[in-house]
Amino acid sequence: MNYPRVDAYSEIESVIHNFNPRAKIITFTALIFSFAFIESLTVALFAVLFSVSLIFISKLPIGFVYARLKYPIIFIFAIFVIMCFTVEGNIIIGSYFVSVTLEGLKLGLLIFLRATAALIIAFLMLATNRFDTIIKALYMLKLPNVVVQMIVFSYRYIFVLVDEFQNMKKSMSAKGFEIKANRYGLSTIGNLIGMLLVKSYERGERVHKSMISKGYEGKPRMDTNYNLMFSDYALTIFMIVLALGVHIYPVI
Amino acid sequence: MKKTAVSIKNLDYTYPNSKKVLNDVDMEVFEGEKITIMGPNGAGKTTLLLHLNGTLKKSNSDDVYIFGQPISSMNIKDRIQYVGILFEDPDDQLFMPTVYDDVAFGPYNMGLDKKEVEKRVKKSMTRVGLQGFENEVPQHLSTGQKKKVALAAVISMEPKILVLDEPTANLDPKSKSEFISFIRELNEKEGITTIIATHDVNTISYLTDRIYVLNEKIVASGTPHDIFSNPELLKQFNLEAPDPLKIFRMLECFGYDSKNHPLSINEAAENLINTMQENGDIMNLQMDKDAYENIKQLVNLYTYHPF
Repeated sequence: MNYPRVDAYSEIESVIHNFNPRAKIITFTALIFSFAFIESLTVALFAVLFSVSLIFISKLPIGFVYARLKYPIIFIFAIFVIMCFTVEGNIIIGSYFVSVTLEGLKLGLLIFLRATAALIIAFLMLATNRFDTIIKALYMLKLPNVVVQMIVFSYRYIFVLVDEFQNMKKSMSAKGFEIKANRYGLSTIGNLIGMLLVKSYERGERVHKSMISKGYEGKPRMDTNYNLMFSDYALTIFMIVLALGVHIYPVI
Repeated sequence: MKKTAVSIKNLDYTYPNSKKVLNDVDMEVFEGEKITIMGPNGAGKTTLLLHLNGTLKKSNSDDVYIFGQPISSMNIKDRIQYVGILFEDPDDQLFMPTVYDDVAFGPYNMGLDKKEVEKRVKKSMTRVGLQGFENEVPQHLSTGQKKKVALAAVISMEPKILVLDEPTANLDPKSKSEFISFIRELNEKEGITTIIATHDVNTISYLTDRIYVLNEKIVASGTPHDIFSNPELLKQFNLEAPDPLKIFRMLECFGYDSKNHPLSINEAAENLINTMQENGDIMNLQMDKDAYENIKQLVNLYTYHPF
């Protein structure tokens, strides 16, 4: 089955793809936080342009990026629209019932730009490495073992659950079920989700038994071998300076 | 005299809030033997297998012994060095991000160093014919490949006893045949004791010296010929005999003289060739007055489709 994988183009050769996964996680996380707290509209616009330029540098197909980001960006855009109409201030367009304020427009645009910039950076962090590499990088960064294991199992079994969900859906349609927004349809979908939870629980038990049978005692070990190169240090310094720079620049 | 690899004495097991699954099970398996456990659905086969390396165990009783040691007193590293279990669904067994991590999981838990783990992963992957798949992620593999990786993950621990739950389930004929050959090789060349739970009677002759029939308790045991020559027993516990045996029992109704009932296609071919050579390249079959009734009786006895 073809799964909707965020790491489908992780094998491309680019500066971003070749960036050491550990360094990438640290620097991109720093950039995400930095962009999320930008106060100036101009700097936020710069952050978006910088993030978009990283997409081109990463050589990811534009269609792939668009398909993955369109829904989150629509969601962020909805926040922008709401802000325009709900923040009090100087009315620039208005009627009896609704009005757009300048403060709302500015604040909405600022939130939209910084969220978009942060979203693109987060997407690039996930899309330019195989997901297992990211997991191993988190393991090497000494993230608590329980958290790493939760990510490992969630990632591994999401595909199995997708298969089970698809099988149950096919089975339902083979018995003539069509999804409709009526009481029967919703209750059937509810049953399907409930069944999926039961199956997940049962699989969890079987996986746990399998882990015990291979000597699991709470702390699995993973083999990792990601050495930092000179280019990784250079890129890390550049990104960290940029993350700090977007906050220092407006002050100067 | 061969050592006792597995000894089970008066094993009882009840899942919480459930009925008794195992009741007074007694079993003895010798080193290097090939054992098959058969039984109807819900007979407790998987539960029994999970007791063999202590995945399921009762803390207060010594009912399972591995090479003379009670499993309840063995530490986890010793247990996995003695007994490796292959589960029916490979998705239950492949839980790490990459194939390499899965195959290395057991050896790391055994406390081996990185170099030794690398060596074992490479060896196991080569043995199951999947060298070069180490960096693959499990969800991109076919069922046959997943099953082979799951087996590699078990043999990387180099267990003395290999326990397999429905090893040939959901495999295509070629993968099934490769899998069977590999398990036989492990048994014959390395002396690994194999204990298999299966319904796939047509593969049993390749993988079995002795059969235990389980239905909460051991209801019968013996060689494959002993068990499969007892159609009443098979019928009672929802089992069946291999197809070649049924066909040769029918041929007997037409006067064919079969010294041993073959359990596999290979044995059947051998049997036919030998019989014909002994009879001057001729096979004599004839339909006498009782043949039809005998066939009818045989089909009704050995199958679940009335003739």
